[in-house]
Amino acid sequence: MNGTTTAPASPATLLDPAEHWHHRLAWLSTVDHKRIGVLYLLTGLFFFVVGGLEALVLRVQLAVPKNHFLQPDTFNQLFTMHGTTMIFLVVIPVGLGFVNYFLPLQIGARDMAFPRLNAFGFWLIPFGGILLHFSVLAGGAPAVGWFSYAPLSETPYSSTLGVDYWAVALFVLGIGSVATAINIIATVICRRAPGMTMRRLPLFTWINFVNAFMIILALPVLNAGLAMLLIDRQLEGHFFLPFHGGSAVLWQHIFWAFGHPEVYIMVFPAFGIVSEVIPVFSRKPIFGYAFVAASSVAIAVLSMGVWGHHMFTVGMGRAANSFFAISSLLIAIPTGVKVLNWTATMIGGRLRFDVPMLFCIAFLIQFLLAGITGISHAVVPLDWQTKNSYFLVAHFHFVAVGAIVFAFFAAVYFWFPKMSGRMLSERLGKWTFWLMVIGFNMTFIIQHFLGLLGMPRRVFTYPNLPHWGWMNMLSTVGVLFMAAAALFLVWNLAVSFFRGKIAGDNPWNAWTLEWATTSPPPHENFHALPPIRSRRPLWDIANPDRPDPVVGENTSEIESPDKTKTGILTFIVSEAAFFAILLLAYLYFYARPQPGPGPRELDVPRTLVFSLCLFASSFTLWRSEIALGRQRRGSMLGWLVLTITLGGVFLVGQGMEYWKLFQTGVDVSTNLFATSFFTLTGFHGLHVFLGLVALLIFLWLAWRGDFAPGRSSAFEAAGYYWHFVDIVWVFVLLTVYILPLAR
Amino acid sequence: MHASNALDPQSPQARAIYDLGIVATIVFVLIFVVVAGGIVYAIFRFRGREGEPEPKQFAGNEKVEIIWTVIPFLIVVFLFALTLRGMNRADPPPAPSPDLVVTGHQFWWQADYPASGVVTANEIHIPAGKPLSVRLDSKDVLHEFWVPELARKMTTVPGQPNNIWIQADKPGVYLGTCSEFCGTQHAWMRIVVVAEEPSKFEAWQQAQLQPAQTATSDPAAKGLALFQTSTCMNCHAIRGVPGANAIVAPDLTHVASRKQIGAGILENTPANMRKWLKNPQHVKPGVLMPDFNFTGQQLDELTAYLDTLR
Repeated sequence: MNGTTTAPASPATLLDPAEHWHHRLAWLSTVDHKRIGVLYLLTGLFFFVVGGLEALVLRVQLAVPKNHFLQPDTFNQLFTMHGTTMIFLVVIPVGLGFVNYFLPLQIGARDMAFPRLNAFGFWLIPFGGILLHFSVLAGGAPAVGWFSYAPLSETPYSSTLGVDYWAVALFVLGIGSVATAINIIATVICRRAPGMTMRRLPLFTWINFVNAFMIILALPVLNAGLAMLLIDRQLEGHFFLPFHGGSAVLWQHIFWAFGHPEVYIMVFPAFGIVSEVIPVFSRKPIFGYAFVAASSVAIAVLSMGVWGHHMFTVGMGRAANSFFAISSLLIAIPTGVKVLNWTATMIGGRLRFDVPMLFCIAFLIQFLLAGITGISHAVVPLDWQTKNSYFLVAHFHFVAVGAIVFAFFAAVYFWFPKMSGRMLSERLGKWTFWLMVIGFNMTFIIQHFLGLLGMPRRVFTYPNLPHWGWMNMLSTVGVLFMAAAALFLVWNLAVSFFRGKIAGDNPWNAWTLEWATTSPPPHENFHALPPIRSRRPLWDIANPDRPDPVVGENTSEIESPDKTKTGILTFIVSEAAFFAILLLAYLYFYARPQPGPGPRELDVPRTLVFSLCLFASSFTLWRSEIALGRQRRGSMLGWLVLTITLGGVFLVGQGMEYWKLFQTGVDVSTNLFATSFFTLTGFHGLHVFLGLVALLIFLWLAWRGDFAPGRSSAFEAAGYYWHFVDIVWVFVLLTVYILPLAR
Repeated sequence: MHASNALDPQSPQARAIYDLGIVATIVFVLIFVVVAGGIVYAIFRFRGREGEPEPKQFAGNEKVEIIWTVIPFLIVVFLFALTLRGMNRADPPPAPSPDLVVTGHQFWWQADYPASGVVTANEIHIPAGKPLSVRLDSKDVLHEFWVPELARKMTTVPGQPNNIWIQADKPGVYLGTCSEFCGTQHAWMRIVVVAEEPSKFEAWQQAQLQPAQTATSDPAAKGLALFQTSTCMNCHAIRGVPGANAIVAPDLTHVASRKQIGAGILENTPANMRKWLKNPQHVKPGVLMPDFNFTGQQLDELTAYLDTLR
């Protein structure tokens, strides 16, 4: 497999200048997963430089006590942008970039399941990044921290548009992440090569497959919260305004119900990378494949129930504190199992210390420390001292930089040869590594002690208390080393891209399928796939005398479900998470009734009638699908028209309800009943409307006779979505209209 | 020198956390040494040489997996037991009525003593050796009350008062800060807790309860007049001055008795007070007190008046 020694052939070399230019421009319209992966990575690298410069400026301000380098408001904007940028515009895009490039290759697919959705998901990232940064021109960047705690983030305390741009940008980025996650799930389920059973998936793919489920469940929770925050800010709602009956703590629950899964969403790609690199450079298979895979599922499940450990100091009460303490302690177990398996993989191996492995070893030790200080935050009384101090800053930078960024650096050195056809310089790589190790640890180890000495996070300056001065200076000096390391990385990328050693197909003698094709891989990835009968197809080829044991049954064909249906079902799961939050918020305020209008203003009998229309439309759509299946075009069109009519009637009914409320002076800003009622039913109505638009498109297509029988899966998928919207209404109806009758 | 060192606890509550921290740290160090030891051992023992054949391929061991799942589980159970015990010790249920009410404002602390009626700001006096039940509230956004040597930290949530216990075993000055980001000047929302012998604390309380001295002599009297005519009273209270009872900003009845200005940004000296009054937005940009553009003479008069409020 190591045959290629000539320069990587690119179609670009065969083109005349005009075609050459066109070839370049094609990057903008590409739907190729590899190009999109590279676009993700370059976008991530760009924002990594932006966020890194922000960090550098922040640390310069903090180098000495009572420094006047930055104005306080500038500092506050910078740390908000630094956190938001690094999380949403660096770690997430870079993780998704590697997944985009290598997940299809690892499973022997030609592309992602939905190439155009893939491009859509990517382009939302620069769009979101521009929205976020546009706030700087529109009155100032947000200055509320990356978790934007209410009520500081509400209009009375943050009156410029920074928070609005922040919220809209994150909403857009969230949609992009959900789109990509749906694509990942559909790709893994529907696009695996023959022989690539779920039990043979490379761990990078497996872990990121699990991660995609976390994304579709967690990101919609954030988006629900952002929608509520924007309704507060733009439409004078009251969700998170305590002096109007809203709840500051509710924002925290919503944000961290997203935010803690988000921590794992960020770290899972890193776990995947390390699970690939360590075996290759230990020359052994991963120790305990099943346990590494299963522990990922355990972490994903538990991650949905640990958010309260961010809130041990807001006064949740002893019972809730205890619950979140034990759930957060438990999540340490599967995480620990992973670290031990990675370590055990090295034991008994023949370790090669190339740059990717160096970064993984540093990852292991730094992530170990990050995990341990993480456990200390689950021990509630310790959190009561260390939370919101520099101890916490040190902890999460050990995760975000010490683990995630180190793993990403490992991945860059590991996979750059595959992406470019050329090796990165080992010499420059070792400079990057050592500067990074020294700089990172110099910056962040000391911050644990600063926190214990009482220094809070997010202060633009500080008094000259004992030891604070020299500790902060040391921390700032460390950043300079990291900045130098970043320069070495960028320099290495630039130089090696043009002048690096030719890589060949499989420079590391690795075993997964991305190494079974050329570097870079051709369009649609593979000329021919090797047989897949174990987790390491290329090991089996290289060592025919001692191949890996066959994993599972040796089927050559894989029954693969329809990708459109898989995609839409996944989308429905994410939508369900979104509506669950809106419903819970409604119930939260329903349980705390306020003076003013309440559910008694609503017209229950009329709503029941209109609800029947909506429910009937599910039936008529089902009839339409049957008619399509039986090739009866007229009948299909008839039932479809009836469905659309019934849906339209329902919207009219909802409009009448709104109109009556407006007439009596009730709007979204009246009180919390009104705010939560209009938000919940409004978003449902919006979904009905979008469903109607989709059905109208289908009607138009069917009318034109454009509906080949093979397209029926798309129609069925739209049907799933329509039924889902109706089911949501069952819950809304029960909660908003029927529940008060039971009182 | 005064500090805010969580590793130097000065109250039973803070000590409970510290003791728990010591036990936990021993466990953590053991975990780190064992696992990092394994990694370092692998690095040195299994370093590959050029041209060596591939090592023996083995892909796991279920017994080992079970062992290293069960041992962490036992550690987790142990830490959870410590957590439950630590919560009770560091944070007992509050007293029926608080001894002290601390209210967070952007960017200062209001302290009310319900039993005596004393109201002060940023500098909290407590009697040494006595546990105080403290209610924490907020007038605007989230803040967080953190004096590491004396107590756990706790967020002040508008509309949802929280309670903690605070105590200082010995007289002394203990430093703390707002630790939840609360806006532009979050950095200068610091706390000074002064623990005194009970008799001294009682004397302090009595002194605080006195209304402000009436300014009789020039320039202090002119300063008082300026205070009354320059909208100062819209925000600041001075007991004894008719109409001056707003609590938007710190109570100034005994402002000169306090150690600091602007929640920690300046030492409280007449010269610094003049500097503050001249241009508060320059001293503490973003503070909710506007610049009044006082003339030099007015500044002298106001400073002289505030200096009488001891």
